[in-house]
This record gives sequence, structure tokens and C-alpha cells, in this order.
Amino acid sequence: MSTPSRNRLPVSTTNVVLVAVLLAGAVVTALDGSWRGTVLLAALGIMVLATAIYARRPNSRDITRVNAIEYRDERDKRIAQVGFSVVGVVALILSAIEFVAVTALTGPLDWPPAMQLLPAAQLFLLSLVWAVANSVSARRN
Amino acid sequence: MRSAVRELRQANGLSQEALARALGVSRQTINAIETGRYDPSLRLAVHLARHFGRTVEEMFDVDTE
Repeated sequence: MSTPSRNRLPVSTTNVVLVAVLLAGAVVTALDGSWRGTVLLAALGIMVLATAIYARRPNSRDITRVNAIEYRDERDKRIAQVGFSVVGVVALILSAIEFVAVTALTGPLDWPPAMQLLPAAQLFLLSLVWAVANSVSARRN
Repeated sequence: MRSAVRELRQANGLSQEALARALGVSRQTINAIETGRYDPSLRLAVHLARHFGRTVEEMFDVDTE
């Protein structure tokens, strides 16, 4: 009657990509001989997969599903949207603080400071994503 | 927003779980609608109304928060 899920996978597409990236990283580090990295990435991949499968149970709590990125319906998606919005605002504020702090703490002889590049790029990219997201949202709503 | 979901569900002898399954949503969503914590989308509101053979206006009181 409602909008049935078209996803026939045991977990969401996002989690499939996440697990695939983590396991691919584990394979690459294994080929490189870095066993510590292999164990860490493989363990993370298995943990993400297990969490997603656990959240997919019929009687799982809403917060369990949202935290595991296993949305069942429109309310789960709305809860996740609010959560990610807060993360976005906090990321922008922290990036701005980081950029100002690095700029203020860098001596005049260090100009242009290499360590300023990362926070500047991060702030620029976050602002760009924000502007694009606003534009897309304005066109769709 | 106040709704008649709980009254109609109970009158039809349905559990929250059964109604949720029929509508393809979670039990928590039905509970949140019944307690007024969640305003459903227009699509879900129409599906709810159709499920009970009512109109959306009969199901939801948009004049109350």
C-alpha cells in the first residue's frame, strides 16, 4: 500500500558501499603487508555489516536503524535528515574556528602557511557543498 | 497534529504492528502519529485514510498542533 523498499539487498546501498570500501582497503593493506591496517579495516567492515543486519530486524528500534543507516520509512529518513543537518552545521562552525585559529597562530614569517591549507580547503568545500545543497533543495521543494 | 488513527485502528481490532505492516512503515511511526509527535507526509496520510476508508480530513485535525 505504501512505498515498499526496492532494495533487495540484505543491507542498504550505503552500507554495501561502506563495507565494500572498508574490505577493499583491507585487501590493499594486506597486499602491502600492513597487517595491522588489514585487521583494523576488516574488523570495521565486519562490524558495519553486522550492525546493519542487526538494525534490519523487523522489531528493531528506530534509533538503531537510523544510526546504522538502515531507514525503513519516511520518519526514519526525516530523523536522519535532522541528524545530518546538525552534523553539517557543527562541521561548518568547527572548520571556521579551526581556520581562524590556524591563521591567528601562524607567525608572519610562515606566510603562506602550509598548515593553513587543509582547514581552508575543508571550509571552502563544506561551504560549496552547503551552497549546492541549498540550490538543489530550493529547486526541488 | 491530532489524528483519529488510534481510534480507527482499535475499532478495527488492529495492533500498531499490523497497521504498520499493512502500510509499509515501522511500528514506531504509527505510534508517533497516534501520539501527535510525527506529522506524516501527504502520501502516508492518504494511504492511512484509504486504509480505513476515510478522507484525510476525517483522519487528521490540521487545526491542532
